This record gives sequence, C-alpha cells and structure tokens, in this order.
Amino acid sequence: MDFSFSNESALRKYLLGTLEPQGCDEIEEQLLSNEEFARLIDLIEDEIIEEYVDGSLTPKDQQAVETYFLRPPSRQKKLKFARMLRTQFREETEVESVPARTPLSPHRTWLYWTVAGALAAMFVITASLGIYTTKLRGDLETETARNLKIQEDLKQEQTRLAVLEKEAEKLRNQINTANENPQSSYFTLFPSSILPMSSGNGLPVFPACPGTTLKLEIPLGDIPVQPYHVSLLGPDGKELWSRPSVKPTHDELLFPVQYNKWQKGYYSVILTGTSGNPNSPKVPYHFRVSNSCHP
Amino acid sequence: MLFWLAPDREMAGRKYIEIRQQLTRFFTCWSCSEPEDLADETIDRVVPWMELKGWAPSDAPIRVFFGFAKNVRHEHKRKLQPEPISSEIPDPPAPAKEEKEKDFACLEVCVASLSPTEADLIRHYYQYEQEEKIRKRQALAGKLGIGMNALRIQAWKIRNSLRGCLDKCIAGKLN
Repeated sequence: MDFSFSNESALRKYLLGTLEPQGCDEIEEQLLSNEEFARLIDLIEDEIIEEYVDGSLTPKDQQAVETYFLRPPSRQKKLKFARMLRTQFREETEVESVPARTPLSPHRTWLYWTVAGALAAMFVITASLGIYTTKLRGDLETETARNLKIQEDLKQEQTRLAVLEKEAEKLRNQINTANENPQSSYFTLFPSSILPMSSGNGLPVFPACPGTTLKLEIPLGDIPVQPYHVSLLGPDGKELWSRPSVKPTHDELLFPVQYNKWQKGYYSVILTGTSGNPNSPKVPYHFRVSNSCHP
Repeated sequence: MLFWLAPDREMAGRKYIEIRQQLTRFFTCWSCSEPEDLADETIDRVVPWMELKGWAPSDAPIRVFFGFAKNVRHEHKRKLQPEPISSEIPDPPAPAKEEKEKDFACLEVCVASLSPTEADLIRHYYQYEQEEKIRKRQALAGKLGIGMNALRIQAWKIRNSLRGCLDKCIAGKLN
C-alpha cells in the first residue's frame, strides 16, 4: 500500500468541510479513481478524531469536528473507539508509574480491587495465622515449662513423702515398742499432723492398767525448743490436768501426767509455748485410752 | 439493475456492493448523518434513469452514480437547512456499566490477539498525548527504522484490525 501524503492539509480541510469548492472537486476526482486515496482519507479521519480526543485541535477545527465532521455514525463509532484506545493504553502507562493514584476504568477498577482485596485478605490471614501460631508456640512453651516444674515438684513431694512414711514407720515401731512395756518406758506422742486423729487409726493407745502412771515423751521435732504449758483434755474436750511450764530435755519433753481416772476414749495433750510470744505454737497431740492392759 | 453493471451476475453483484460502499464513503466525506440511506437513495434514482436511457454497461459506472449522489446530497442539505448545529458534540449516552466492561474486556482480548510487535507498537502509539506524543512517536519510528508516515500507516492498519476484532467480539462472534 502506497499512500501519498501530498496536500494532506487540503484533505483535512475537505474532511472538516472548510475547503473551497474547487479543491473539493479535485479531491473527489481522486476518490473516484484511486482506491488507495480512500484509505488515506480513512487514516486522516482517524487522526482528526485522535487529535479531537487529545484536545489538540485548533478551536476552529474543533468546532468543525463537533458541528460537521462527527455527523456520520461511522465517525462517531470511530470516536468511541479512539477514546477506548486512549483510555486503555494511557491507563497501562499510569498503572505502571503511579498505580495507587490512578483512577481506573470500571473493568480495571473491578480487576484492581479484586486483586487488591485478595492480597489484603491473604495478608490479614497470614498475619493472623502468624500471630496465632506465635501465641500457640508461646503457650506451648509456657505449658511445657509448667509441666516440667510440676513434675519436679511432684518428684520432690514423692521423695518427702517417702521420707515421712519411713519416719512414721519408725515412730510407729517406737510407739509399739514403748507401749509394749508401759511400766518401764515413756508413752511417746507425736504431732497430730503425723498421726491424724480423725479416723483414730494409728493413734498411740495407752492401756490404762490400774496403778499405772502415764509418763509422756514428746519429741519437739519442728516446734521450737522452749518451756511449754501442758494441758490434758478428756474425750469431752474438758481440761483434766495441766502443768504450767514443762522444760524440754534436749529436744523433747518428758513429764508424768498426774491423772489416774482414765476412761476408754480419745484424749489430747496440748502444748502451748510460754515464751510470751503471742505467736507461740499451740500443738495438739492425741492418743487413745483403752480399758485393757494391752493395746 | 445488476445487468447494467456487469454481464456476469456474480460480478455485477460485487460491483453493486462496491458502488454502494463508494457512495457511502462520499456521503460520509460530506458529513451526511445517514450515508447509507443516501447511497441507497442514489442507487434507486440511477436505476430508472439507466432503464430510460438504455444505458449500456460501462467500465466506470461510479461516475454516473457520483453525479446523482451530488444531487442527492444537495437536496438532502436543503431539506435539513439549517441543520442543527450544536456547539459541542455531546458524548454518546453513557453505556451501561456491564456494556462498558464488556467493550474494554473485548479490547483487551483483541490487543492480546495482535502479534507482540503490533501490540507493542499500538501501545506505545497511544500512551502519550500532545507534544510528548509527537516526540515519542518520532522515537518509536526511529527505533523501528521507519519514517513517520510509515508508522502512521502501520498504526492505521493495526487500528483497523482492532476495530474489526472489537466489532466481532462485542457482537459475540469472536472465536
């Protein structure tokens, strides 16, 4: 295809309806005889429309376009197409350079917001998962540490319990040994925390044989070594006998109980510290009295 | 009428279409608002005249049609005088959102159907405006090793190809 661009200015004027009649005859003659010329006219039409879209026409030409040139529907269709092309490719440039500030055409706006929305959602989900995972990991670590500590504590408790059980067994043996021969030995009492009274099981049993005096041996153990006020409480909780200040021998209290009206039942010996300290310990000891001379 | 255009029926048919297109182009060049209707009116006037005159087939029947077309144009102009002249051609009524989206989606499809070289050329050709546009197009022509007029022709060809594709796509006839 070989276009001749000579006298293009006259052709533009012809298309804009501003060419003198004699010039028109010449152009129309070419249109009748030269098919290529028709294509050149088509090209010039496109370019006039493009300049109109760009707003680069002179005011006179712009008016001619609006009042004359754009009357045929085919040219109006070309105008629509030119606007689409300009919008499409200008947007591509602007999206490449300043995507955030570019007002997009509806289809691009839809695409843009769809993609942006998806990315935002992915970001939120990823961030949430990250935070959640971090929190879970933290919780897991805390829980693991706590479990370890609990296991350690449990081990220590078990060790202590084993020691205490051993000690209790030893004491039980001592009690039994002592109580098997009450005439010659002291009757040993231990804190009720070691020998609970609630069930009565394991409490030392004092066989109240006639003429027997109860001699108590109370190891002080964890309680301070100091003089203690000693009270004997009967099964009904009433004080039956007391002694104001029993001084310890080494780390135990040894004293006879001047009481001989024993009856079958549970008795308690209460030690109250006499140091004048209001926080002095008040420690109960329990034992059982049987009527039989054998426990 | 076809007989008057060419002895062979098929050839006469092609000649008829060609003449109608030329007449439409004339009426478009004269900025008539209904070029196709006026082309048909011109043909309707020529046919009885040919029969009356016993006109024989000619190598250049378009000249006869062109003469009639000029008269039709003058009459049409007189009929419409003064033609409503607006200070500004209003934008065509805004198409529905869906329609606009479809148009642009079709345009994207059509651009994608171009060869990479053509797509690149048309993209660069339309990216800029005003003075920048001229500079960029000169640079583009230089890059392609062609003159500015050759670049204009290439852009025109690609535009025509896109226009054809777009029409088909919008009509739902694009494969």
